[in-house]
Amino acid sequence: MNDSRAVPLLEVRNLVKHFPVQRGLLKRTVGQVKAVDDVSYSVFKGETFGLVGESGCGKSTTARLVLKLMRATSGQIFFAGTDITNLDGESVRKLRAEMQIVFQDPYASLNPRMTIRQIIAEPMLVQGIDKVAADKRVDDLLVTCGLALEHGSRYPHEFSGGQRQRVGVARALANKPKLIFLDEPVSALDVSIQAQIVNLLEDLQAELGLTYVFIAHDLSVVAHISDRIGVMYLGKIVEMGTREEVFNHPSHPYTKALLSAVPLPDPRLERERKRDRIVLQGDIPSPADPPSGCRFRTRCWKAEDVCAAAEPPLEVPVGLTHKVACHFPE
Amino acid sequence: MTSTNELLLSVRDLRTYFHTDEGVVKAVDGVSFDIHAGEVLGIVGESGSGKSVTAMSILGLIAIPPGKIESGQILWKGRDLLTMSDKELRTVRGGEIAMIFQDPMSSLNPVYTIGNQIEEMIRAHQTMSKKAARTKAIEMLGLVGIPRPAERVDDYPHQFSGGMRQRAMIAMALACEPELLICDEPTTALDVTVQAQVLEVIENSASQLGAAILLITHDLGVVAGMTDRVMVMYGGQVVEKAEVEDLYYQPRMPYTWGLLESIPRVDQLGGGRLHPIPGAPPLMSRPPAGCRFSPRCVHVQEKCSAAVPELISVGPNHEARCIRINEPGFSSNAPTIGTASSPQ
Repeated sequence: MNDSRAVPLLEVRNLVKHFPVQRGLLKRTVGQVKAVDDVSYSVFKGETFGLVGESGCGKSTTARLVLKLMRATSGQIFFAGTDITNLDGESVRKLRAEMQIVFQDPYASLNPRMTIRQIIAEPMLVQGIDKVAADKRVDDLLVTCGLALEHGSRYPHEFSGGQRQRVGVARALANKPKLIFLDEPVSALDVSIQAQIVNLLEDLQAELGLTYVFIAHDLSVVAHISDRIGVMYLGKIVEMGTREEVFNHPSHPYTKALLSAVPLPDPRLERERKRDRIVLQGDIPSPADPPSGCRFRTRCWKAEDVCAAAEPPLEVPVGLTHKVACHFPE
Repeated sequence: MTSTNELLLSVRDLRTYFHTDEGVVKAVDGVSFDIHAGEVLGIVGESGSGKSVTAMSILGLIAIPPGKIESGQILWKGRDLLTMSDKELRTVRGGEIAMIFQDPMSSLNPVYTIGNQIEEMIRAHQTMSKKAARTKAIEMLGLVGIPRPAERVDDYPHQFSGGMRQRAMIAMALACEPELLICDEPTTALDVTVQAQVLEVIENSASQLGAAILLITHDLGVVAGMTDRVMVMYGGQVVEKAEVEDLYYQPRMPYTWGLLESIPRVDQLGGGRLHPIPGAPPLMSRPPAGCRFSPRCVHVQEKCSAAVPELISVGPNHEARCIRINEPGFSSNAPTIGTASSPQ
């Protein structure tokens, strides 16, 4: 699956997105919010790449840059070997047939004035598929996503959160994309419903050979669904590898803290874990004024002078098999 | 473990209904439980299970109409909060019983400083000079881990991060040294590392003050680590109530089984497919006949829809609501949690 000789389906190189901070009447630019700052990763066909990190770490912005929902400040994006960084207009529309997104909030991402059938058909009509063919495919998609045919004529408000997210998935599948970004697809759902959607996503991937980028802050769900994982902190990937490498042998202190903070549904084990829990001090620094050197150093218990002086590169340290950006990897 | 302590709160057969255009929504439908001094009780359930409405009913925060507490008692140290005068209620609410909500930004007033708001809270419940209240506010901010509290006390809510705002809410809630702290999804809006910070603050400061905690959450991990006893709610009713280890290691109600089975665990990679509960929670304006969980239950039989099963005792401090509960071998359908957890 992770064959280094193969051309990745998606490759992101040194991606940067800075948002200007503007003040005053003349909107003078007084600084830059470095939302995504030199991020590189590859996603191979048929795999699920998980991007984890806390609010504001840049994981969703990364997805929006790749989907051309916003323009990157610098860096390159390759899709199936083709540079798509500077595509615009008509070529972006064509690209969207290959690349889709499922959003977090199934309440906000479905137009309340459209029927489910119209919502799912819309991306096909945009791509120039005729109405009869689109209608026929909606029938298939409804069934594939675990909905009933009669649901097609209803409106979003008539559905529960889980069913709405099924509609969101059906819409993303409409044009038979190769790559789907799943941006917190189950975070708004109750736990018993989350598992339904996770299973649906896994089944669809197996049947249709889909490739996923799964973005979430819930590490348990990411651990379950991902083949490889990238951990982000303040606009940078700090650790990246297979899920076993990252979750069983976390090497970056931030990854360790993140994993240690997840409460386990197992009272005896959880009470033991709590005694050794790494509780980070302080808050995430502002991305408009990130710390020098390593961005995590202000909250890191291993920080030394070198951490403030030099930014650690994301590379494979001696004795490890996956990439870590830390001067003192474990 | 806690039964020797003083009984603080006793909720008896509480029924809170909402009268809507769609009909009567029985949000809380016959809920009973006790909280003793110093203990931590968890209420677990999904959206619409009635867990938040239970908390709001205790504090008299139900909007009437459309809401109405139809029947039941909420005894606080033996006195019924539902028949208390507004004046009496004011000394209890915010003073002896305090609450922390999910969203700290909407619970803080943006035009007053954090200090103002904590001082106001203190002076509403205690006779104290402005100066003494300010000193107390600074002390409380320090207790919940706000750095440089003497300076930050003059900040406005927007100058605080999400985690700090929730800590300020905790400081405010604890300022009057309540005997019971109700936390409604206190960390749901927070990131996982911030959640760890905030939960630690709630636990440490409540135990320093000797306050009992009623923790309402959907997160079975948080409940596992923090509570002494747990109550599972579904469709406005309590479906299982047990000491925390019994609930996880010897659960008796199929809904509890389903909840425990449906969550992936970060410490168990590649555990195969997840086991969701089929269907969706019931619309409470039209609850299903009989057992509320029966339409989604994989162990359902015809008799399940005949009548709502009673909450029956299945062991020491352990109750569950299922008509099949005493059938031989039925509890062998329960999932196994952890490794060293085989039922004794």
